[in-house]
Amino acid sequence: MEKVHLSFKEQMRLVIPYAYHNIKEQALVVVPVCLYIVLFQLVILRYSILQTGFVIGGIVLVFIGLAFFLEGIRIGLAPIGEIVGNNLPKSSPSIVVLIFAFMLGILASFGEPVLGTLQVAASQLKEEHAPLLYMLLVGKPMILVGTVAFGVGVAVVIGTLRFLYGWSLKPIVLPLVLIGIVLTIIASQDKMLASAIGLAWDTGAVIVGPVLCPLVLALGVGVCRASGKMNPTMAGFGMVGLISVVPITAVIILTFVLYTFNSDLRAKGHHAPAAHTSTLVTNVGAHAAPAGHAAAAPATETHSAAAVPDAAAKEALDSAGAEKIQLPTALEFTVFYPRLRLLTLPSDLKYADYSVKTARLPAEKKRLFLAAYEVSDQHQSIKIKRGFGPEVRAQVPALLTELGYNLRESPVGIFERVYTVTVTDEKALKGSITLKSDVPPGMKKQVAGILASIGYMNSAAVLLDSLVLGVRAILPIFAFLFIVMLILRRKGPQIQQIILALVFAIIGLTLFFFGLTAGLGTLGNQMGSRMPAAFLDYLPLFPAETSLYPTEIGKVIVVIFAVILGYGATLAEPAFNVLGQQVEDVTQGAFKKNLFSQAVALGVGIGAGLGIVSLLYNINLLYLLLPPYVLLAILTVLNQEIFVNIAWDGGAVTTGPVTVPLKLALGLSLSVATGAGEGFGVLALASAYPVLNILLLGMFLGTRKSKVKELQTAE
Amino acid sequence: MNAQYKNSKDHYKVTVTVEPEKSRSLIDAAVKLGAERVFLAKGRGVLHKQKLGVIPLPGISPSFDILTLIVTKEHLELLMNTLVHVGRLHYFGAGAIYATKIHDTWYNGPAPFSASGTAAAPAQYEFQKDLIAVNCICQLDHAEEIAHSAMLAGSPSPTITFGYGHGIRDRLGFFLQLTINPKKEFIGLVVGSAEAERIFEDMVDSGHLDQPAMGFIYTNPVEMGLINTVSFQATSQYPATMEQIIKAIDQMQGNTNWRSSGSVQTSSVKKRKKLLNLVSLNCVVPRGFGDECSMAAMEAGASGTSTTYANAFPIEKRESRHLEGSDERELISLTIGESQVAPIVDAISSMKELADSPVVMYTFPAPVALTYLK
Repeated sequence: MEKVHLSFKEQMRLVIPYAYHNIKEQALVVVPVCLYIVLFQLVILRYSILQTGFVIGGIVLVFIGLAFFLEGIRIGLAPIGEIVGNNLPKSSPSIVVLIFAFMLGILASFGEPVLGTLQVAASQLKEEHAPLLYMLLVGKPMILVGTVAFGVGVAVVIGTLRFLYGWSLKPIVLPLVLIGIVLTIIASQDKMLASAIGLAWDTGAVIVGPVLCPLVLALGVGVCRASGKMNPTMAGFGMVGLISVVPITAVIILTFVLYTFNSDLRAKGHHAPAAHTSTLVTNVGAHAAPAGHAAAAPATETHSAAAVPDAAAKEALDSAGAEKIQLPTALEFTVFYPRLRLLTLPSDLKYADYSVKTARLPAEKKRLFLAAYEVSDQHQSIKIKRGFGPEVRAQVPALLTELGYNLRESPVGIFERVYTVTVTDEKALKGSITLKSDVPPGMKKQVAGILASIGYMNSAAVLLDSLVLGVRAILPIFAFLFIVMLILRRKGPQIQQIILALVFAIIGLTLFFFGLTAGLGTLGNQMGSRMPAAFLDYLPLFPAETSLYPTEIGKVIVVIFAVILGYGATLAEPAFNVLGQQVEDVTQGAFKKNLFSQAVALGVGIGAGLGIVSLLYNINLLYLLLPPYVLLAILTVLNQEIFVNIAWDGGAVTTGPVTVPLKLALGLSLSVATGAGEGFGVLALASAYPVLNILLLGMFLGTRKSKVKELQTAE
Repeated sequence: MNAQYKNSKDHYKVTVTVEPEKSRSLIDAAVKLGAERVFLAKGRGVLHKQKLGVIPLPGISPSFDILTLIVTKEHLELLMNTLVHVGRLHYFGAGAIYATKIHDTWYNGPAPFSASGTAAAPAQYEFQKDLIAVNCICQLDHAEEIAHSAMLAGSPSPTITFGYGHGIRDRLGFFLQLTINPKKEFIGLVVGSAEAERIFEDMVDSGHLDQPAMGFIYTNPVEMGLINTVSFQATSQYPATMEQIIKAIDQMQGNTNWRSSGSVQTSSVKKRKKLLNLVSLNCVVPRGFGDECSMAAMEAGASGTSTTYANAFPIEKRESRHLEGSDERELISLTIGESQVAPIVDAISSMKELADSPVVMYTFPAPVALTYLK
């Protein structure tokens, strides 16, 4: 057929609106949640946004990356997945189809990058406090990854069997959930097991990511079309939910097996220090405090009651004279960097070999500096806090000159002195950290995270990491499906379209992950680090600080923030977008994407809020996690099949690369500040409530439909 | 014309819109009477939203199955009466059934309808005559607004389906093709001839169908039908809904003409340039061949095609397959001038790719159509 040749101007008239429309669609879901965090931080937490360039640039890259990625999925992965899903069962025996499904599930789950986030978050776990968690996340993470991958593979097989034979989802998902509930109740009796169970539920929540979701949806649609067994209104749904539920059960069983058969583990668990509820120190939140505000977290490492300072230390801080100060020993290592940032590394980072060229101040002087001086990065100034006497003030010039800074005093008032700082000896201020080669990967990530959180992100390294993540997530799956499609000798999209889709998807994921780290991650860290100030009356090392609001009001503010954050961040999730669109497509527009999105996002908000409530009020997370799952089981039995399928799928896609860092930053920071625990299990709550919401919606709509039918088709 | 193809001028197209739960029994009844294949497509209805005060209540649109089959003139009434009886389509809210006269049918396999025996209709129903079908193809996410405007003008609930369009997009380079979304929405409704023009105009107005790249709308005459779709999510506040009352009056009057008497015209009939006396050519091919078929049609002179997906029942078995769960088809529709029919039918029938595949093509008149014209 004769091709139409367009002029460059005419081509741009097509390309520009296309690009604009796609990017705008993603910007409209990403920007509001970021603006919300920014406004909250500025207005409610009264904390200026640091590293604004990184934040803005990162956010822009997030939605541009999302636009590219989703387009790559639409034009490449989804069509190929559907073609393979449709044709493989027609031309191969069932066993081949199931083997293919199993391999696909494993391949896709190894590529999913979200699991890595849990590892980063937990990399400061102390082995002696939580040996099982430590082993699963830091020591031997491949056991966990392998178990999850196996669980995903089994889930894809079960899902494929469902589509081939037209089985209902209810008798499959209910026993799995009930097993999980029963084992969780049993595990809650043992402290070591209980901590790992929270991780198991979170694993199921995060495993369905931006690649796995569209892949299994496309596959499911294809298989359903081939089998003709399923009601096409449900075509392809239910598998995503299984991929979330089966790994939960697998990991719970794994924890029981490890606990039962590994006597060393049990022995370590029984010798864990008592009364230490905070085994996890956040790196993502706490260290992003402004210079001068060393994190709450390090102090809590040595105190069992995290938020209550040592009285002697407090008294010592108030007195003048650096020599007499005795501060918590956690601050053993503090480094000043040229931009007046403070870097506080964990004191027991025993695998690290530090080569820091600048650590000029003696330890006591560093502590004093941290306690007494408020550093403004934006204005390159230092202000002495109230409550510190003239002797302390007098030490400022000497302290900083030792470091290579030049000072000019700008008196502001009688009681305040502000020093404007310029750097005089840049070379002297440079530092580096070299890690030994046998450092666990989690530790490396943790140090990189700490550096990134205070603005020392190695952009090139993060970009390379993001590219590797993107390629790892996309390329194996694309290649596998493409090869199978060739073997089936089926016509798919043109080769140029496939290559373009691959490029779009990889570039998109790379930009997306990079933007998440640079932008949303930085923003989340700042927000998380400052959040305890809303209700905590005393942050260690800052005796002059009082909480921004009365304690109970501050806590309510934090909970409300978490609800809205959970709601907004969910709408930006790429997997969630894909599922919502699929729901609308398969139902021929009957179930609108918007209705689905709002119902799920609202559920996530409620779940996120309840998760924060558990941290703030030290409520055992299981008391909040188990009742909704029991209710889910009941509603699953009572509901129509279509809603059961969509609900479980909806719950599975809610926690992804956008929500996880934000929720973790907030959750871990609060868990450390309040000493409430590790913070695992919070993500699982955010997965349970959206399922509940959709099932309740299903009950409501089902009731109305049957009333209509009664009226209008009376016999 | 490929010698494999036979031609007939004796057929009608019967379309049934019904709840998915009833499809199977209707398909079985039609096949038992002699239908070679029944094509099932998925769609949704449109309802006026219910509100709690001013707050719209959440709801999902009803899902429909749209069954299409071809029947001979001789067996039309038997088939229609049987399907109405089996599906209880004479009850309000049960769905719709209507028949369109086909000018020409071409097929390369068994005849689309071959009656087995002399069955008698289980009951006789009174069908509405003098009906017009209004069909609209529009951009994605525009269908609801157009459908609502039709309902406000008096139409029963239209049926909306997703589909794909071929046209200028396929003549562009591959990257530029990606910039244009081929996905479309198809709206179908059947109304009395007295209301058809007003509904047609209101749909054009609300969908801006006379603007570039907004869509295409056309009508075709319907021989007979029974339209019992619902437009409201009813509550149990009253013993009967407004729609049921209107329906009862329609039945008493014998037509829907009474509705326009004394009513105020809500839309002005603008002077628009319409396309007259076109023909709607429809092809049913196995899924996977739709793109080639559309390209062949466009090379033979068609400006564009619209495609929806459907499943054929009973399933055609092929020995080479491990799984015979479904028999998927593509329903391709073109609206063209009378003189273009022959070359396009020739082009499609000559396609080597379709040599071993079952293909059915048929035409019916599209007296009035409208789209953007330069």
